[in-house]
Amino acid sequence: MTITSAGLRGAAAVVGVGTTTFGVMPGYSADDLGGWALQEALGDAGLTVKDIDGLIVNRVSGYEAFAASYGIEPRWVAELPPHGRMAGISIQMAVMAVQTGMCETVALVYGNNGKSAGATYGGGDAGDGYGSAAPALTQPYGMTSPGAFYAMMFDRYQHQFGATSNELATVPITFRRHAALNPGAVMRDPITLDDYRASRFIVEPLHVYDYCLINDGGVALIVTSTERARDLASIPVPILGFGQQGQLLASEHPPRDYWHGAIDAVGRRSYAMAGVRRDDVDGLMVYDNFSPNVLFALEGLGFSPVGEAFRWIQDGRIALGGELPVNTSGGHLSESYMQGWGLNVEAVRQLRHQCGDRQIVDASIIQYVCSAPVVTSIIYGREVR
Amino acid sequence: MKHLVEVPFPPAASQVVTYLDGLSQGRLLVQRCGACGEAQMPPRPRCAACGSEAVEWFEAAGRGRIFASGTFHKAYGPQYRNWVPYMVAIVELEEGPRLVTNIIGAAPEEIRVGLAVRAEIGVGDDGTPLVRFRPVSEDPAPSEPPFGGG
Repeated sequence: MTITSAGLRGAAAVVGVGTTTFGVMPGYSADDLGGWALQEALGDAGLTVKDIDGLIVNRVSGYEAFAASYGIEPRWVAELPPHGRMAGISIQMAVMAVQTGMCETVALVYGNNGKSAGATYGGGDAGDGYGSAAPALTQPYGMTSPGAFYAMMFDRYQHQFGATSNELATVPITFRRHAALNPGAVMRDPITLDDYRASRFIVEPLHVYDYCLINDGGVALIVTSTERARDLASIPVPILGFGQQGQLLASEHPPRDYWHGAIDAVGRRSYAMAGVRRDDVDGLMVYDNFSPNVLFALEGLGFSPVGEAFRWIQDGRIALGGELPVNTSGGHLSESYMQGWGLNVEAVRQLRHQCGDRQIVDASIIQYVCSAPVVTSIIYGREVR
Repeated sequence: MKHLVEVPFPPAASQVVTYLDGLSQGRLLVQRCGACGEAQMPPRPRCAACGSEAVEWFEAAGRGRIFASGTFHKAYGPQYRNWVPYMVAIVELEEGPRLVTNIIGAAPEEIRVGLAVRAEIGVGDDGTPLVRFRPVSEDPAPSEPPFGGG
């Protein structure tokens, strides 16, 4: 029997989420942070490590050491490279492992002590690689950071569509407002447009407020079959659908279409697997490594026409209470940069209606999207349709 | 494959070595697919468009336009500390491929997407061959050779 994509719809659910404090925590290794988050997630799910038979890890020291340290003996295990695009890929793999019967209950663990270890995501450290296959073609020119890649994309976008930083500022300003409602967020003081305009450039035209935070922290999720989820005490959040598309042949340089083609394809696949329409999405968690990526994701998915997202996001449209709340935790720009993992946890908490002051009223479908040289998206719900 | 110029990077794939050797000889070599005709950079063992191994080298004219640019206000490494602030650009050659580069001979306010530029091949501080680009007027009759001196 072939498992079709429709057969994956709602096959698995998130039954536990865990997050550490985010911030500067020099006394913790990446494994300490991953283990802390795992403990939170297990407690949330009402499970113990002995209930875990699948494991996928990211940015901890390694799957062997982590499993050995934390009492896990997996029937299925994987470790992915430390790129943010791997959060979505990991969750998709966990669903497939459960659906195929390789294992029943997967722990997904992310632990990052990069802040205390001095990572800058631009000096060749762990992080997303963009066009870095041949350093001799980039480093002699001083091209050495993903942020610069996005700065150039926004430079061209401004020229092509008439956008300015004044409109882009709505992204970090809005997410900061959301972070103020999130006790776990690192940066919670409001940003005004004047603050933004006066702030230093990192790679111009992007300001420091357009860049994700770098912090220490850990995030974990527990994924199991929807059937098993019914036996557990936590509110299960079914994973209704997902999709993935590489742009690896066209990501050495900023892509001419801002990855719209791949994002559109991934959106369609995700909605089709989930059996929902774009209009059903109550909230969007966008991988905001840099502010412009929010614009590109909104356009690629079709929430906004191409070239218009910088206008579309104005007037509170992406704020809580607006038409499409985005990154209600504050995201990577204000909560913490946990390379997509925190955004997926926020999706789950929204659907459990556990977000308190930052709750999207009656949230029933939340979409996660990451636009990168591999685009991913995941649709979460409250029930399987 | 022994190459003509030592560069301070890990061993590069052979096609990158060919490219750098070309620069060290004052030639801007780029790839074109012998099967489908698509030009591509960075150089690769196969054509990104059709997958063919029939990639060939040709010497680009050196004319292009700025595709995008960004100005670094942060040094991502001690070797860049003296550079900041500095600009990095993507130039799209008239043959199609794009390159990471720097723009020379232009004030920051002159830099814009679409600006016409011409290649100048030289050498960086560490001996790595470089291709940088200088703005040109849109006058169709150039009065200087296609490549500046090293």
